[in-house]
Amino acid sequence: MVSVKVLYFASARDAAKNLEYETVTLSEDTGPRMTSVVDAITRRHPGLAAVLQTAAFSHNQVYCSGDDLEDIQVKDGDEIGIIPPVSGG
Amino acid sequence: MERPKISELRDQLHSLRKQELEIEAQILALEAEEQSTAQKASDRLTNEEIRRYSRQLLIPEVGTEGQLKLRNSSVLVVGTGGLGSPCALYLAAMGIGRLGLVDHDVVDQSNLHRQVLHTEASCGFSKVLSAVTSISRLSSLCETKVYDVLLDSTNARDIIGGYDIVVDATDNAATRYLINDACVLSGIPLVSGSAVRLDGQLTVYNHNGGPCYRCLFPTPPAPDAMANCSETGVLGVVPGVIGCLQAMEVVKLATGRKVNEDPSMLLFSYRSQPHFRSVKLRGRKPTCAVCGDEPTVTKLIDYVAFCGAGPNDDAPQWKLLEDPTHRISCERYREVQDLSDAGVGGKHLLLDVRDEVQFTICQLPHSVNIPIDQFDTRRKELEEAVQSLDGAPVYAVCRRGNLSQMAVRYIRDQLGYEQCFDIAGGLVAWQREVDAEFPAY
Repeated sequence: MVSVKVLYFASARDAAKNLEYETVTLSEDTGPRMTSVVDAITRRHPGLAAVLQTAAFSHNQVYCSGDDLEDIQVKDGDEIGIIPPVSGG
Repeated sequence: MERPKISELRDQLHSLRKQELEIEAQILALEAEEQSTAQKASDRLTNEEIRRYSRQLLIPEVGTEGQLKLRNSSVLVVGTGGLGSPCALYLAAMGIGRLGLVDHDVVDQSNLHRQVLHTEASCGFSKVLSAVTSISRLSSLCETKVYDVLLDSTNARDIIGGYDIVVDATDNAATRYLINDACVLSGIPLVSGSAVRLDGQLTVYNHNGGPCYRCLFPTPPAPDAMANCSETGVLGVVPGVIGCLQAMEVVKLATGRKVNEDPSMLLFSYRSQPHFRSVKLRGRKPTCAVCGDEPTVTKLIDYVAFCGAGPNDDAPQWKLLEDPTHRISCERYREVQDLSDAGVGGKHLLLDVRDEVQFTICQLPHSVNIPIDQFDTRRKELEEAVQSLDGAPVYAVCRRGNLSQMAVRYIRDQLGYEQCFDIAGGLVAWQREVDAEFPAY
């Protein structure tokens, strides 16, 4: 089992019941990817689906894009950020 | 001599403040006629500058050399709102030599809680005039140039091209992509800030091999998913925090310090502990559409089409209800209200579908509040309210007449109740067309 901490920023937080962060435990024993994390949080918070389409992500405080998710393996204790663009001002 | 009354003195001050704006407008008009007399780069500080910037000169990171670099730098601030206000004020205060300000908006009362360049006296005046008035009060050393235009694909490169650094202090996605592309194509670093509700972001783009805005966010947000200040609100100080940090990044760029930093994105939230988090960015993305190795965007494009939304933070006007008989005008609802108040018919349910926060700000008499996003969870309550009407009509209302159309659809399609209508244009239209005393927000 792999547990990761997911941080929700801006509108992602609004879509995730105003949670600043939460722990997500993945059932896969070997080699879960960032995509598994994204799938898991979308199941928990269906409202996130629209936000995730244009969001950026971070893996252990390093930026990654939606295209990278399949390639990034997550380990126990990793921190993942969901970062939708903020446009206002 | 009779002592003047406080209220008379206040009136006098108010009219002097308006006069100040009018004099600034005359100066701007005369300056526009004259040939630009751009200050020449200078290699020493005047005695006045030494006195004025002494506290900053004492900082080794700035010093005389850094202060001269600020003095010889030009910065374009696009947007003089919540972000641009503190940013432009600090840039002028810290001694940036030449400041350009772009805005096409007019100062409105609802700007004042965050747009600290603007004042009660400047409501109704153009934002650039209001901004230049505040800045000239603060510093006569800062040369300002204003652009009272909507930045678009036809003018962006001409305007941006004359500056060393660009600050994105705008409020919408279309203009963010436009400014990004114009900066990439012109090779100018971009200090980008954004803020809405309680959250903000800050990144320096297109600098020293780092990414551009498109590298990070290749896909524009869907218009409906895009939150903006006029719809979802913003805590006054949040853009203030980000705007100040934008001014700080400008100082680092202008003094040459920024080249020693790896690219990063700063995330700010009022509601998180810690308030700030930072994400490391990679370099320029080789596949980026504008700054990549084989760019597909080689000149400015149609950004309104690209984003599916206009270059403003106005709310979209939906047209969900195709049948016009499913909607009534505010004027028509007033007649229903009059009949109902007089007790001669007009039985109905006025259903306000805004969220509770908005409902508490103001509401029409006898309205019942069930927010649209609670329709599913409070379906039983909604059904009972509708059934008890014995066929009398339901009128759904919201702020602008968008959500109320969704509500009408729900009640007609899901609950099968045909006597349901939307008050077109919502409370904004009600205030405009029926009751000027009704609060506008």
